[in-house]
Amino acid sequence: MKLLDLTKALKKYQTGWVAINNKNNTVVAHAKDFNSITKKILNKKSVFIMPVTNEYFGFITTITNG
Amino acid sequence: MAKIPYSLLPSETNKFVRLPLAKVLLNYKKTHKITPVLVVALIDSGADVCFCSGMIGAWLGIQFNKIKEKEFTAANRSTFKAKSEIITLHAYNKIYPCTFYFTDTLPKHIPIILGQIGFFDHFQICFNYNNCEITID
Repeated sequence: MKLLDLTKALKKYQTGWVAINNKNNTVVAHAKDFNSITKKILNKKSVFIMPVTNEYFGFITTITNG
Repeated sequence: MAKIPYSLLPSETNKFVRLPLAKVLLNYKKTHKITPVLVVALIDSGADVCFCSGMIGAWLGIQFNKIKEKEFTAANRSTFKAKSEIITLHAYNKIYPCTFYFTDTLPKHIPIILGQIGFFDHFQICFNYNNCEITID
């Protein structure tokens, strides 16, 4: 199966939340937090939302103080 | 049965990282609030239960001041506290009540963790890293 490659879509974002189009994997909205992104995507279809960071590596079911 | 791909995500230290991310909806019946679109969640066989960020819990309208905290130990032996509430989970053609533990100590980029109790006990999960594929049955 082909990977869901989000690297290009997320490249220019480092914080906050984004809404990504399911079909072409492009960012259609960006907001500073979960509450704001839910407002921005009210009329958008076929999207999913996720938080952004420049470092998704290194998680081992542990916690941070972030 | 659903087959979903691994997600390829940016990493400064490793260039890329491949993660088993699912997409789910959360519905809190007490307030009738449901996430308007799918939210990304980590499928994590190392987590005993399901976790969710406190920010999402607040958006769902959970009254956390009425819920007692429970302590968990992370892989690095540090402890953290979380408050549980039953959320209706919509995931891969199943809709069912699931206990989520809400905490503000999750990493910002992992807002939802789908663990053993609440997710793995409802599905058969097969990870195929080399084929970039996760089967959820």
